[in-house]
Amino acid sequence: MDSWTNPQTFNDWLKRVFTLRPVALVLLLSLAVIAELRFDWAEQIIGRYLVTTNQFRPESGAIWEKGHRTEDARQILEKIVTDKQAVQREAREAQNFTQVAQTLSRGIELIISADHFRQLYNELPPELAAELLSPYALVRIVSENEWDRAFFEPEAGGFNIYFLNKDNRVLKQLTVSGDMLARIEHGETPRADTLGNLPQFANRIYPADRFFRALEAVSEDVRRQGVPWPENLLKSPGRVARVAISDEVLSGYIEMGFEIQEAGRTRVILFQGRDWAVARIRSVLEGETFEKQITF
Amino acid sequence: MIRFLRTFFYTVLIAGGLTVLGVMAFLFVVVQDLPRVPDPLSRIIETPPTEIFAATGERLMVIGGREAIPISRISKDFINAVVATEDHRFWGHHGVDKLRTLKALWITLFEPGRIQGASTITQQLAKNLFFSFERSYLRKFREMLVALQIESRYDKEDILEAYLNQIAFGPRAHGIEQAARSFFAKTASELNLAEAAMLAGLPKSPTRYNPYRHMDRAQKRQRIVLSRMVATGYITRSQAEDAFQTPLHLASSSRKSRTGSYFLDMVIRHLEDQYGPDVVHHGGLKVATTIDPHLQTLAEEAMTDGLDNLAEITGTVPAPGNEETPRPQGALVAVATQSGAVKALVGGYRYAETAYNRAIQNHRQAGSGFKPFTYYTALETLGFSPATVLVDRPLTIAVRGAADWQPRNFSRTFLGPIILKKALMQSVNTIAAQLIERSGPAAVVQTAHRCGIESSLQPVYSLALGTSGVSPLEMASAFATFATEGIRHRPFWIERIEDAQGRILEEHLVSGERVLNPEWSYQVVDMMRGVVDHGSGAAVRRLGFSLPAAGKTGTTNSYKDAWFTGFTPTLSTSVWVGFDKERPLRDRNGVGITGGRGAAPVWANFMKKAMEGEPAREFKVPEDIRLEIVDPQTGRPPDDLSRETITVALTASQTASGTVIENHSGEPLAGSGPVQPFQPPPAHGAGEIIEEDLP
Repeated sequence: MDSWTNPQTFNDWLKRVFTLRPVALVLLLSLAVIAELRFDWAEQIIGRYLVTTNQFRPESGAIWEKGHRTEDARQILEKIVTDKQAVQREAREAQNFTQVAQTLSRGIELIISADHFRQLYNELPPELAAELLSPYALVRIVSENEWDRAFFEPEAGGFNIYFLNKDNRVLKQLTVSGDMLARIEHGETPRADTLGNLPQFANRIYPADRFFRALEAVSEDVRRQGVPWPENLLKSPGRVARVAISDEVLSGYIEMGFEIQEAGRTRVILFQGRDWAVARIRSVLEGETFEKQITF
Repeated sequence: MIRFLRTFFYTVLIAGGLTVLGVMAFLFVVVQDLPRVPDPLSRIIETPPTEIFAATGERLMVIGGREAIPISRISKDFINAVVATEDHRFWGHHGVDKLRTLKALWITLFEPGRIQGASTITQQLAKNLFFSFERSYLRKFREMLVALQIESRYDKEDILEAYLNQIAFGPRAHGIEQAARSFFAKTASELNLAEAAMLAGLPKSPTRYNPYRHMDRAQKRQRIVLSRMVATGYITRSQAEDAFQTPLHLASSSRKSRTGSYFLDMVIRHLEDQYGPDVVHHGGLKVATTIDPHLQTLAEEAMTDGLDNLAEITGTVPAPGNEETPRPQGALVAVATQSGAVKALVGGYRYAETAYNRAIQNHRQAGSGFKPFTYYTALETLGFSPATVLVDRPLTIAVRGAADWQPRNFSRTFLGPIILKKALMQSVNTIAAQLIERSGPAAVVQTAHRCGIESSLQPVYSLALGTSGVSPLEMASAFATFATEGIRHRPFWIERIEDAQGRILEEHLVSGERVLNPEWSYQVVDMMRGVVDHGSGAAVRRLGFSLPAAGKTGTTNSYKDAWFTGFTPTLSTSVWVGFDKERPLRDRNGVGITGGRGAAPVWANFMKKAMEGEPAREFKVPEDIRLEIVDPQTGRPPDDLSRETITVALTASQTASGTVIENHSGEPLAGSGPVQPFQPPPAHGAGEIIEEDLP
């Protein structure tokens, strides 16, 4: 049985259903839906809201991962380039081969210009320079007018020097031993040894007092050219016991060895003197009647 | 009833309100880890590409990055085709096509087995930039939110430009510019309607619709795209029909598979080893390589023609549709003798079929191609000259711990007394065996290594006949050492590497090292010239290569490998052909294919074109060398009895006096007397250094 409150006629139905409030609500909602379909306002509101939160959101997703990789790659390359440039700057600013040698001994490759190489070469003590590369060979390379750069590559304790033209073609290659590198880097240093163990000095070993007497007998010029940098001897503690002269002439220089004794230890310092000066000293030494060669 | 309706109405209203609130709450939660959108959007294509250049400066390859172009430089037809196919309401919606989404949702939910996509171009862009391809409602929702943000922040042209510049059309074709170049050798602005419709259909499935492999499918897809364009009013039906009838000219597939793909693989591997994959793919390196695109194209053509011809001869042309039939493969490497720069490299028949690089990875026996190292060793260690006479005859060499070795000649005949030059020209195995037996295998190994063979070589007698595996790159490089009077240049393929700013990271120094005596090197070169002019490599001359050249053929047991390695004073080239699986190369009549028949034609065809226009450069003759004419049987100047003469290169200390090498019992082995049976030396183990007294 119908409740007495139910509408009895169709008109009653319409009057009861289409009251102001539901109609207004339906109209409002319909308007909202139509406006959304027409103007996409919901998408726009959400989109704009998301734009405001953009900077606080994580950099995630494929494109950002790619970006991070790009950044990592950029940093790796930047480090490689920066390190290279630092080394090149160091090399460019090097005032002498000692500084170049110090860089090389850290296992780092470097390139310097041909002019810079010549400048550094001229700074080397002549005997070391000649041992590194004959000045005549260098003059020849320079005169060929192709040489552009010198590339230094550390290898097995020493290093290689490549003389390059503009096309990176190697014009000449030198291999410098670890011992030579140390001598360039630190100058002549005493080595723990005796003259008798060094084959280049066999048969030409003299007592120190006789050697110095002969040295006093020659002119100052001969002394300076024959025994350059005597301060190296003064720096070494102990006393010079024997001196030896090599038979070999290398690029205008002759090697000499000074045996130093200190507190029971024996060490040798090597020098290279100009050949003509050393020959003069040797002739004085061997010309003295009271002297004779000593063989141990 | 009224109460029910009212309750229902308000329930729906409240439920709707709660749903909206729920969606908003969900939105706030999801937003927290929604990816940040780059600003500006063009940042997505800012990864600098790694570019690989040829020696000529031509760009060979771009890795990573995108070849981004402004939308103004993209064909209008292509833009319309993409919009019509992917998202025809693109210009009107705000990131989401609601009607299409509802329809897709309905189909997905109520029509089991059917899934309907409804992603707009903006949603696809969002997905490609930030999301995986996992199918989930949450991923879809997040993708939709990002699309809404993109639409709010950027205008339609920006969005479309970003989309078209990152979309994938296939491998090595990311973005429309790369795709247009790759498929039609055109720029994106030059695409016509037919090409635009073909390309616009590809992103749906680049593999399935790849026109190189499935032209029929690609054309069906093209027709669908054209129909969509008609339906959306971009073109008329007759325009669509005309476009469909327009013939398509695809860029040649060899071009699509990149010039020097094997070479580029080698370069990329080096870069990845040196700098790591991230730097290679995202670091924007600029790599200058040594390859010469002209020579590379010639090499690829020569190799393809040669292998097609071999397949024909051997009856191994794959039947249509049966690509599985093994076909002959090959490799070619050309190296500049004066620097070691690799100028051309082919690693197989077709890169698209197999990326296995036979030029560097395939270590196959060189056969007689190895003999020049044996001959050089004989000149160096035994004091022999090219006019030294040995006897070609049956030979047995005892091997400790193994069966005696009895090398046989290819011809199965013996020539008797013969000078070394003639023996190399005729590739006489017994003479090479006698040489290694006298010099010792270790010395030959050492010579080969000095020249540039880096593979491990077994110090055994049979090494004289090339029984150790070597690669074509090694052979080309090692033979170049002879061409340069014994100065070895390491092969290299990267000249210089720079970063994106052009700062140098790495440069190759061209450095030569003297490893062989120049006079003996020249003597070997002169002997190898005989091989090309009148010996086993004469096919090269018959095929029309007329410049001064030296070389050596190589064929291994049972015809599994055929080689020809030869050089001019400027270019050294090695060619190998054979099957990947150890199967003999025999023609339809069962006759084995030698290096002279299988590899030398490829070499000649390549070198003929590669050296076109080059002057006829002669090999440099060392001062100490003089040329003399001798009788190849006696090694002495020819006399009335001489049936043949041959020119040999001799050093100042050598004379053409018919030096005859005696056997171990002191009896002469050569001369006009009868051939003596060979006295094998005491047994030696494989790999042992043999020291013996020579006369």
